[in-house]
Amino acid sequence: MKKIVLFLVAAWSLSSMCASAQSAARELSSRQKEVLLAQLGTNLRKFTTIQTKFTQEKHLALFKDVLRSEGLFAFSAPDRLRWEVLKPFHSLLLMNGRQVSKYDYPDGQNPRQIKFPAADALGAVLSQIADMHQGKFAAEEKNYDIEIHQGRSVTMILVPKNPRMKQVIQRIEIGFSSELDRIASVIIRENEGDYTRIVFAEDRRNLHLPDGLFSSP
Amino acid sequence: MRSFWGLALCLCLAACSGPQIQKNSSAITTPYPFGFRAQHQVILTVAGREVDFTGYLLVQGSSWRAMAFSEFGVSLFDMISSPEKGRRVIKTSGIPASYLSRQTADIIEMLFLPVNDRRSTLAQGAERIFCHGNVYEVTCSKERSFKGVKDKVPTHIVLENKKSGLRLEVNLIKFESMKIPEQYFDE
Repeated sequence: MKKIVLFLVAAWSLSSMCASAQSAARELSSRQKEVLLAQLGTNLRKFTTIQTKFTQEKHLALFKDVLRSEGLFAFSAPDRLRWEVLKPFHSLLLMNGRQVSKYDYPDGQNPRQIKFPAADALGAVLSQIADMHQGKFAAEEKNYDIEIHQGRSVTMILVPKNPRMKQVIQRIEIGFSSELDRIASVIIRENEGDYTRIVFAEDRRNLHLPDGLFSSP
Repeated sequence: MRSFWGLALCLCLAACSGPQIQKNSSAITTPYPFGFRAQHQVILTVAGREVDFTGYLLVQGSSWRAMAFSEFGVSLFDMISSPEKGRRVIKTSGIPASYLSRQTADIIEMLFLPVNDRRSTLAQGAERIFCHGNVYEVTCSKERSFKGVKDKVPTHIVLENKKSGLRLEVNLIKFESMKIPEQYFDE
């Protein structure tokens, strides 16, 4: 009985701590935001390449279900990017300058290029990801209203300006490392409570990344 | 008159020599349980262009709900069908609602529900399905057993409408036999 009480007290304390940490996050004033964005920009631009693992979870609020995937992300400044999903199925998305290509692996080994119609739209999304990793936030101010919340960590909140995009995406939350030198997570919040959380881990930065990583497999 | 008999003869020959077409009745067979949820990787080809997405499907009897998500998890569409309220598009990000509630819904029912379409068996286990004036060829393969499901479930499905150039490739990622609560079909 004593153990149960102790457990409940511990659980309550932990949840209170989490709640207070969240409520402690406050929106920065425009001057503070400007200073922090400049600092983030300087820190992020120190790294010209990034290679990291990611896990992506699509949370379906209504169904209490989570769709998980994981893979590898590589970025080389200014405009080369590789987004490779390894589980639960294998797919590859490449951006090399203005060229965007996509592959799947129907037999599990050999890539097949997907002739997708919306290359420009996907290219725009990937360019935004590339801009974020280089701290080019000013470039995104034409697409989003940007808020910065600071608590135990710093979160950038992007609210789409385009009404059509806003119908689908309520906001994007970018979480930074405590050193403010890398993107640690991205949450894409949709309406009706659904969201996608992407968490980056085991990143290696400023490594030489071979050209082949960003060209057709 | 001669041409009429000629046409009639041709139709008879075609009926006798072609694949056997059966109008399915209540005795229709489907490997799927009464209630289930499934996640798929889907590659849709229309007029030579391809779109890939993750599909999420809930089925309970003749009610179903289908959703699709892009590579970064953003919702592409969400639609529901139930005997009481029919087919409804809850959300779409650019795909015309009429396309979803007609062709897309037809295809979902054809593949995953015991619907009364005319079907004929082709070579190598493929099926030809006639639905609302369209002709589809469906091949199911890589069947697998799942807990709580009597029959093996195909993990790879290819559907083609050769006339319109539509091709759909569906790979099963996750499958669970379960009772889906009614409220999920009630929006």
